[in-house]
Order: sequence, then C-alpha cells, then structure tokens
Amino acid sequence: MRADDHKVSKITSEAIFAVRPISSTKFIIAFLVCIFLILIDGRYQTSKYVRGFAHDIISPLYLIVDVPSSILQKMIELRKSNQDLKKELEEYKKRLNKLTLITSQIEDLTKRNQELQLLWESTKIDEGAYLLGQKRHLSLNPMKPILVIEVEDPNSLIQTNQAVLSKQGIIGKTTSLGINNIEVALSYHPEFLIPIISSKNRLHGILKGQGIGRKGSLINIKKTASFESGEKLYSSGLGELFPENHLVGTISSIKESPDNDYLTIEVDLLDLPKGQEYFLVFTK
Amino acid sequence: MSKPLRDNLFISLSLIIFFIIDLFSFPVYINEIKPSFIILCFIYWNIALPEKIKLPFVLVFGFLLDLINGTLLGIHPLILLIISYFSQRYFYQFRPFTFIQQCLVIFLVFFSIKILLAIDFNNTNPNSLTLANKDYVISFIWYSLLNSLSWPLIFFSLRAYRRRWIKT
Repeated sequence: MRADDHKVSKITSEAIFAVRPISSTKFIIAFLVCIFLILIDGRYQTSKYVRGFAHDIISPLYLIVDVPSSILQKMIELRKSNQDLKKELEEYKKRLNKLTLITSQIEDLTKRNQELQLLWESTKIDEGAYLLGQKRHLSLNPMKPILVIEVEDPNSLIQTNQAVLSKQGIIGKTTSLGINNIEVALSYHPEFLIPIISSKNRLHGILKGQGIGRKGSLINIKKTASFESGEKLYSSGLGELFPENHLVGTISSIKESPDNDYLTIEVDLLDLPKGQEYFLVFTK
Repeated sequence: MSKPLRDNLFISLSLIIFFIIDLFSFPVYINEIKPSFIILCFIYWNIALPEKIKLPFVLVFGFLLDLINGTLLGIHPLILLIISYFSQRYFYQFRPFTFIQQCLVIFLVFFSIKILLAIDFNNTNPNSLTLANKDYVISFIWYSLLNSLSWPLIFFSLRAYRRRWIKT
C-alpha cells in the first residue's frame, strides 16, 4: 500500500481511506500562477509568441474536426437522384443555347477588354504584397473571435498586426505567428482597431470591434461630425498598418445622447468568414 | 500496461473526444450558447474519480482551451482548477443530490464561468470592467441552461463509459 493512498488518524493511528483532493497548497500555487499568467498576458500580450506555434502543433485536430462535415457533404452529394441530374441536364441544354448567343457578343467584348487590361496593369495592386492563406479553424468565441490560417511564408514576410483580407474586405489582423499557422484577430475582436474613412463625407475615424453578435463602433467621434447612416467605411491607410481603400463595414445607426460627449455610431462589420476558405495577408 | 496508466489514458481519451466535439463550428448564435462538453466532462471525472484528476490534466486541457478559444493564457486553467478543486472537495455532498439539484449547481457554475470570461483584462473598454452587454447576459443564461440540461446526458454516457472501461 502506498503512503499517499490514505491518511493516518492522529487519534487512533488507523488508516483513513478518504479520497484526497488536490491539496490546498497546490491549489493556491496553481491559482496564483494562473492569475499571474492572465495579468502578464493581458498587460504584455506574451502569449502571442507561443499561440502560432501551438496552432502548428494542434493543427491535426482541426483536420479531424473537418471530417464529419466533409462526410456529410459527400453523403448529400450521393443522395442526388437521377431525376435531379436529368433536370440539370435539360437546364444545361438551355444554357448552352444561351451561351452560343453570348459567345458572339463576348468576342466583341474581348477586344475592349484587351484595352482595359492595359489600364488594369498600370493600376494593378502590388501582388507581392499579399500572401495567400487557407482557413484552418474559426473560433467563434463571442468576446475574442479568432481565425487560424495556414500560410506558406518562406521569406518570413508576415509579422504581427498585418491586415488579413477576405473577398469582401479587411476582416482582421495577424496576432500570433507559428511556422505554418497564423492566428488572426477578427474585426469583431474588441482589441481590433482600424483607421477608416467614410465613403460619402470622407471623414476619418477609428473603428473598434465589440465581440460577435454585436456591432462595431466608431470611437471618439465628435457631435459635429456629419457621418450618415448607410455610409460605407473603408480603411484609410493612416498609421500605415492596414492597406487603404478596403471595405471594413457600413454605418448602421448614429445616436446622440446628452450624457455623452461623443456620437454613438454603430457599424455593421463584414460577415464572418464562415464559408470562405482562402484569405490574403497584407505583408507590407 | 499498469492500471493507473490505463485509467488515465481512458480519461484523457474521453476528454480529447469532448474537446474535439467542442471544436465543431456552428452558426454564430448557436456557437455562443452551445454547451461546453469538455468542462462538463471535467466536472464528471472530478466527481466520479477525484483521485485520478491531477493538476497536469487541469493545466494541459486549460491551456489547450485558451489556445483554441483565443482567450488570455491562464483563464481556462484557472476555471478548470477552481472547478476541480471544489468538485474534489465537495463531491461527497454533490453525489447524493437529485438531478435537479445537480443541474442547478451546474447552472450556477457555468453562469460564473461566463462572467469570468467577460472580464476585460486587457482594458479594451476603459469605461467598464466587463465586455458584456445585455445581449451577452441573455446568452449567459441560455448557455448555462443548456449546460445544466446537458449534464444528465454527459453523466449517464460517461458513467457507462467508466463502467465499461475504467473498473474501479
């Protein structure tokens, strides 16, 4: 019998086989260590140095999580009946007729496109400034939503606090880097701040996330500012952290309350990238 | 393989399975209120086999949860530590409770967890100590309620698992 299997009564010297919980000393030490870690991480964001690497290690788990949804997807595909396929075939025939008509028009447009292509080339974005990343995991933690993407970055161009773009616009910024995986704080994250410019009145401001399920807000906007509801907000590029002219949201409401020195401006942020697989990381 | 090692492996396996289940992504609103099976599983093992759940379990799974959820490093270990400590201290009292009483305790535990998770440690909102608002509090309640309703399911499934694989 091991000595730590039981306690010994101080009165009768008999063995007491009560289950020993975590000792109070260990509990207090672990408790203090956790509090220390939380405060240090809150103050200095120390975890950003390890999170990326940790995602590299646990990335096989993300693949396991994808398995049921991919199996379900395949089962749905298999259930497609012959009739559905016949209907589709008929539709395709109709489309083919339409396409033959359109083809002749396209030939005409091609010539014009070639001219436009030259124009596009001259104003084209710097392709080297962006790296392509594939989604690994999307954590919809209501307070701190994060996205993990896998990026091949042989030249180590990616750093923390760089913009991440979806097909809609800027959706977040890099917070922690691993070997292949990168953690991205989404624009809903309360620590996400981005300088913006409004589409109509060309006013500057700073947009802040408030968590999932809640709208973003423009902070410290004076009551004299003439923002309008429905106005689109684009990245202004001020601070040179985020690329300019990318959509970040749309103003949904503007409220003016007498007990607040500033306007309360709510912003509909871009949709969560649930169905999207690929993202761009701005590296300059 | 020695019995304690085998038992620990089976406990770890159940925790990993529930951990993976928690990773599944749902629509936003469901995601906000879906039960946290890993924490329920932790509570079960602490109450069923308190001598088997040691600090390394608490810390490893806590840190993993922090990494997956993007929360500050240390929050989930702290939550699991407090749960483990009090579960192990009071499991004699908890076991004879009726299921309704147990569900009520679970409700309060998860309500407290959500409050702890909403504390603004980064001071991102200088006007408030918390990141919670009215909508978030409503989701608190749903989350706690669903967790407490899931408790009997977890309890019976893990009890069957324990009787099958971990014979004490």
